[in-house]
Amino acid sequence: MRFLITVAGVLVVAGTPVRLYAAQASVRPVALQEADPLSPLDRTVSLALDRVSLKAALDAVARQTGVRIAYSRRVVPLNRRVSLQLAAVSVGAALDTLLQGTGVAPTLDRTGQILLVTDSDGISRSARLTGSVTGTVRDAGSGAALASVTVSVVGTRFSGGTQADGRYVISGVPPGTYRLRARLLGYAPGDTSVVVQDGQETVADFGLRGSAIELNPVVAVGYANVRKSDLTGAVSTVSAEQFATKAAPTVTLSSGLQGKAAGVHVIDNSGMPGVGARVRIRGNGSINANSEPLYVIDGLPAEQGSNSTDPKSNPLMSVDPGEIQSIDVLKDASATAIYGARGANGVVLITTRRGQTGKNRVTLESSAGSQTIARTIPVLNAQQFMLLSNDARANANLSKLYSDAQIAAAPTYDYPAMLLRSGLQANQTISLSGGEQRLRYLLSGNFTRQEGIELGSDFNRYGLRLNLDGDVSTRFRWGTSLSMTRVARNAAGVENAAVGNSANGIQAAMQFAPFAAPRDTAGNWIKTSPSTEPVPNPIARATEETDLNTTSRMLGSLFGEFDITPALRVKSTFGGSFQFNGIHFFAPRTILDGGAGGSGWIYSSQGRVLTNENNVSFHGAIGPGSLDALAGFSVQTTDSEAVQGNAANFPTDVTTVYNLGSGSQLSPAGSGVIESAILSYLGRANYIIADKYIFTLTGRRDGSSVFGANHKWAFFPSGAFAWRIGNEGFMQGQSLFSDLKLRVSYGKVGNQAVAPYQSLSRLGVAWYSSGTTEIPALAPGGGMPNPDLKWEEKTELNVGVDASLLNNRVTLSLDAYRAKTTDLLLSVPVPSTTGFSSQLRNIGSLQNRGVELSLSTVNVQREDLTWRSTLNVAANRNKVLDLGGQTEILLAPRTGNFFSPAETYIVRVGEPLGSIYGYQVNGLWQQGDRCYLKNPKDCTPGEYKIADTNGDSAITAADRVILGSGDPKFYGGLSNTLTYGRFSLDVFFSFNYGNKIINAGNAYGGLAIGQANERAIVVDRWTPTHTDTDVPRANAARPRRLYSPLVEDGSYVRLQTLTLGYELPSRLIPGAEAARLFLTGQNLVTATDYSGFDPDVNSMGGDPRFGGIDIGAYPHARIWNFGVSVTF
Amino acid sequence: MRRTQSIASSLGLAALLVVCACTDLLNEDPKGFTTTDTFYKSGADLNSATIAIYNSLRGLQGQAQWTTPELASDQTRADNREPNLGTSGPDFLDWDASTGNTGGYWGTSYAMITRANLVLASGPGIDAPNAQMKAYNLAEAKFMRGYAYLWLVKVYDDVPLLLSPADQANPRPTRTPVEQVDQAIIKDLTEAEAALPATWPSSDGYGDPTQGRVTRGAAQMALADLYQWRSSFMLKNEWQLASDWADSVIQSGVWALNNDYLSTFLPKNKGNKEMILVIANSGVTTNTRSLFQLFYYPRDWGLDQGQGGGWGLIHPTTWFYNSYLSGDYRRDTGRGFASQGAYVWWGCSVSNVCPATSAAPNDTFADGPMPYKYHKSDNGTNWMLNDVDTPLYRFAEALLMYAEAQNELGNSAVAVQYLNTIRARARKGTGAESRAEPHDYGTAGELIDKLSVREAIYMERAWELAFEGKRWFDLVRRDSEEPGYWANSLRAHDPNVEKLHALATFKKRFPIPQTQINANPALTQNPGY
Repeated sequence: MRFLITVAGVLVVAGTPVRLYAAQASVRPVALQEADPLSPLDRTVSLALDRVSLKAALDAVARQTGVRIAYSRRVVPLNRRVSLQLAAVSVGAALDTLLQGTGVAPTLDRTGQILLVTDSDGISRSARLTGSVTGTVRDAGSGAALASVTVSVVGTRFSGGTQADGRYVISGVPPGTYRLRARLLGYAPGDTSVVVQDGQETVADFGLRGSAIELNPVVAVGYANVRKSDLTGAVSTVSAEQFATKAAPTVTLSSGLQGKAAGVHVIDNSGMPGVGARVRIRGNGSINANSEPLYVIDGLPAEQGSNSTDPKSNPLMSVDPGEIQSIDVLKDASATAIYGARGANGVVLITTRRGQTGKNRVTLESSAGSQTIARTIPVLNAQQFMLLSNDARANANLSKLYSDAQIAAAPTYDYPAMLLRSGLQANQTISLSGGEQRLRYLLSGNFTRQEGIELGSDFNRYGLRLNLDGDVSTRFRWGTSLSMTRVARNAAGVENAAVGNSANGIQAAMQFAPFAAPRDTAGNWIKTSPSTEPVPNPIARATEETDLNTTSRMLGSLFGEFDITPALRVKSTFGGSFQFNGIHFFAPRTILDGGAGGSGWIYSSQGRVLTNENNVSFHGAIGPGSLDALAGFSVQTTDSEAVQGNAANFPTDVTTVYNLGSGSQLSPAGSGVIESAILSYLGRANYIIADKYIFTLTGRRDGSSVFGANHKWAFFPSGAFAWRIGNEGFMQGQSLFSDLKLRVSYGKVGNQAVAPYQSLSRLGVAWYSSGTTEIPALAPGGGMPNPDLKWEEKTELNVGVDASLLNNRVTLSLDAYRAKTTDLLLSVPVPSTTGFSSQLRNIGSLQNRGVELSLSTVNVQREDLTWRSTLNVAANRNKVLDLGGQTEILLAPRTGNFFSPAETYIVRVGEPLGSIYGYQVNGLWQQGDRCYLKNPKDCTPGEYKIADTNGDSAITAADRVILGSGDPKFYGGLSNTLTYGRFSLDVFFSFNYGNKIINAGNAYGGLAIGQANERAIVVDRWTPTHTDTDVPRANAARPRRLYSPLVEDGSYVRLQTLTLGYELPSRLIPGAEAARLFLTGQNLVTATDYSGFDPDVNSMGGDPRFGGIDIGAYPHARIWNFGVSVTF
Repeated sequence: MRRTQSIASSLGLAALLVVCACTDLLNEDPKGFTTTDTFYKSGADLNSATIAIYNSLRGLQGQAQWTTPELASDQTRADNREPNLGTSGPDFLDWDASTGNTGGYWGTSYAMITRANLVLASGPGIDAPNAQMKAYNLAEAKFMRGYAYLWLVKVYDDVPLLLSPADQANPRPTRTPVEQVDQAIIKDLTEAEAALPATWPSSDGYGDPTQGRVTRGAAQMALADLYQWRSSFMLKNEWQLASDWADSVIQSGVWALNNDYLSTFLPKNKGNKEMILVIANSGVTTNTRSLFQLFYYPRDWGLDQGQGGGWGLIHPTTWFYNSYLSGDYRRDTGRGFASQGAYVWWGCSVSNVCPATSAAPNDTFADGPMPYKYHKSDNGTNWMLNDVDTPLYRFAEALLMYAEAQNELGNSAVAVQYLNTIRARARKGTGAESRAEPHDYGTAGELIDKLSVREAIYMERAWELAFEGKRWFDLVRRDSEEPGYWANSLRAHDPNVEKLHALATFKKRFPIPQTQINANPALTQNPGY
């Protein structure tokens, strides 16, 4: 007789289904909870036997579980051949299976050893004085049996899972009256009461209703997944559905996160294709160190967001959002402590799609569309500009530049219109997935192309992903995640550099003298604007210049996972990220940047991150509850090296950067290398008692190479507690709350994101020349070494509530937190007499406080019509508490010295980081106003009336005040999903309230100075006969200060995406399983008072010290896409 | 079963190996640079550390350090259309402790002192086979330290006197009385003078050429400079010492006047016998570039055409441009970037936009002529590269120092002889001409008395050392000899100085940088600021 037992645990004997006592649920990681662990019969065992003797099989059971099995040779047929596969079943069940048909049954003797006796001996297993519960779980709608449903006895450790036929068994339940609950993802839980009697089998069937909202998804928490109901920390989850599928094609990961998760604030740096974004989880946590979150891709800490002040910098642009299955954002210290030293800014866990057992599928998705500028800002025409210039110079006692005849004859060239175009956007994805039980696969390829709306700019990405999961045996599993991507981005002078004569792109076009043609009569480009602020010709740059940035990246990992026992598992992961970056820059001699004979620059860098993670996890019942524990060790090494060369004055422009050696003017080649490493020991314990009380303890000990010899290591502990009030007996009688959980957590995490080597006493190259021989000498350089350099530490208290109301029609999470960062890494000036100018030290502190709410509702749930909404909103307040003795630090953004004074930001104790600092203007001086300033010239009618805040009757730098902060008072997103028959409609709004933006472009566009072309609004300027206006009189001598009218309210509400979808009837496309057409619009309507192109702007990139400035940023596009998605 | 177990155990073994192998990973081992732990061990290290002091010296030609005494003097003014106070502020004497216009000397000088102290602290213990070069290196470091303190006292008076790395480790040093600093300067410079070579061998023994390394002559010039400053500004009456040190340069036979005044500054004549101390700018790459010439170069020579050109910032004041004796070669004015004159006018050569035919807003010359003695070899084509050496001490100054000292000592007739050697060279024009002007002092009825000759020497210094950053210090030190001279000269010669503020005499001395007082509260501020 042979036994055939499938992996899923369905035992078949001679074609007849036989009840199995307990089988491992196929859904990991929630393992079935066993009966009394003290009984040897209830220990778990996994067997994979092929035609072995019964004796060998019994020996295997005994060896594996450590139990003693006693039997008589006469009673037990030891030579009988058996074959079976059992995954994690009880010893009792295994023995029952092995002894099936022998007339022998296991029992326990008084010493606790297992005795095999003939069934007729009368020592029944029911003598253990327990009963069992069994039944079937079905879909309440269709009546279909539901597999993988967890049925648990509420408030106890007893539970079981359903098989494919919907049946479950919970055995060994002591007699009593219990509440029984059945749970399955996508269904509302079902509850019922049962009475268990000694030795009896109680039947309880369930009919589960499909849930409006996925009530209890699995959430990644770093190194493990847990059910949302078991979470103790603050974690926001963005599913693929919310993130990509139904929304418009998203080019970069970061912009796709905007408005999707409570407490995650995303500002696009500009509208350039592939541009970077500032991502802040719960506010700015640092001043000098990076405040961007850590991104973990498929379990590997892969990337930190960029702290660079370069708005183009986007380390995540090589991740294709279409490959993402889900994003989980770890926010509070309890959640992020598992990432210890890198957890202070929050952690974004990215899980890519993986193959599932079953039918092989091919999905094709293709969309294309066009983009146009979302908003235009008119500028002065030639006559208006020439009159402005003349007026401005006349009011400053300067000669006029243009005669009446010149003005009358001047043609107008619309430079912004010449620079802009409507651009193509296209996305193609093919994905193949499926697999056998032992090997699952997902292979996908994608291509994205986005032309910019400014000439000369585009973004191209193509990539390939292969994810594999395999089972070598029931105990050993492996998997890989492999992706290869290449991004090529052209950005020839399109993103802002500064204002004035350093302006690029749209800002340059808006400043360019409108009376001058872009080319002279001979057809050559004119190189600069013939105005007193000679900005380079933006049309020439966009057309002729090459600025190609490429990134090729391979990211891969391989893991192996082995169950030592069903409760104990080891996992080891090896991963690598290999990245190659290149820049090709070439300016031909026909444009300003090209100089006399062309100018070229080539840059190449390669980076490598190697990671090894090893951990042991335990899952099992201990004491009164069940324990999930994890302990691990990880090592990550990073190195990158770069090389560059540049040259100028080539014999021809034709060879561009590909023959730098032919330039007559060579600059020295450059190269560099940076290496760093992190070693970590980590651990986490999650203990759940009676499904009501959940305790989490997390700790990570990190060693980082970047710190001083005395401070390499630090320990980051956290603890959390959650109380599932909804499972308490006293909550069973009410119907308002379907579920209710309170959470509290407290912990400490770190920030190590500073440049390496700063603790060392570094020698740098100091050049001198003798005649024309250049000599490199060595001298101490850089900052003062600090051997005591250590981690920034953030301690955070978080209190939260998760609730489901009104039969799960409403679910909400509410969190409040208070975080304090201490030992801030701050570059502090030291007296020059020490030989150094600054030193990186751990001083200072700052705090973030805030609340976050996310709310999902099912507004309409009918057969043919559903309407669901999700709202998230968050508020954060940041305050600098201490700067190590300094009271304030003044900072100049990248507007050159066009602002006077250049410092327009301040870090001041007691104020938010990134406060805007300038002159308060209270309207314009009018004829007859009482002048409160010593110099009557300062009160000339038509000039800005600047507040003399220090009362010295003169306007000086001391009169500057804080004009606001770049941080919003609150922000969030609202999404609505409607389905009606085959149609679906998704409408997503994002909003931001209370932040200020320096409209730095208007320093050249709105001050009526007339050195360069200005916005059309300047026509409305003050004149003696037109006094009712906010625009000052023309004045070429007006200092370019940061006046408060240049600091604008950045609040907005935006219809971010609108997607209309239609499910095609399956017969339309032969062989297709599903097919869908969709039309999406992005950035459709924005309600804002901001007068620049777009309030979603941040020209100073990720640097937390500069919040909210628009240095003539690349405008956002309005995008319409049409696409089709077919699955075969 | 066996297979999975072996896989699992090898996995565990691999993890274990990683644990064992990576404990060293946390020690930083930089590959792209070295650290002080591994340096200052050999003679070559010492020579390299010495050359690094020269690198700090380059700070003196930074924008603020170079243009502040230039523009603040009565000799030059900013372009009248320059709207940016960061650039034109020094012309209006619009500075305070925070503006940054006057603070650069502090950082530059203490950087030199830091590197010199490192050489002087570690050098004696280094076992260098080349003992001669080791002695030279130590003498160079002493010169550089003395010269740095000389700048500090001329600009700020009392400054912290820190003579070793241990002194510098004190985060709260106080200002040392200027007399004590001066004595330390004298000690450093006299020891350097004794040990430095009069001329260098062509190689430094470590493979590098030696042109531009400091010599005994440079130390003598610095000593003459110090005693001249002490005698005039501080009224210490040490004219004899000033005279002696200047005379030792004159008598050395190493240094001389070139025939052609303007050729002295030309890159093709680097290392000529008149240049006693310079900041060398190679013009080869940007490693030793300087932008100082850009302040003088006309803006419409290509800045706006993509060829760099200049910033069009510094013009001579009308008073100064008109003060030259007629025919003075040092005032020759040419047109275009190929001009060989000391001044340039008319900017059409590159831009073809000329003030007479168009209201070109960027035409520099609409605001007057510009100095052109710093004439790059590429005529300004590449704005990033500059091969003009920045002069700090020239032989002509030795002659004028000696003349001034002799005059103050009562030997006005001797002084006039030396003064006239300068005028004679100016008459030679390009070297071979024989002009009538500038005539010898005294031949047109000028008085040979102390005050008249003093005035003549100061004017000769203005003409001869024009745009070399000397005039401001001349105004300041003569104000001690003739109270009111500083303010009167500025008022009379440079209308811009009172454009923003009435003249306040405390501005004769520069403020201690506020950033330094913030970082070290033990520092006191100069009066008035």
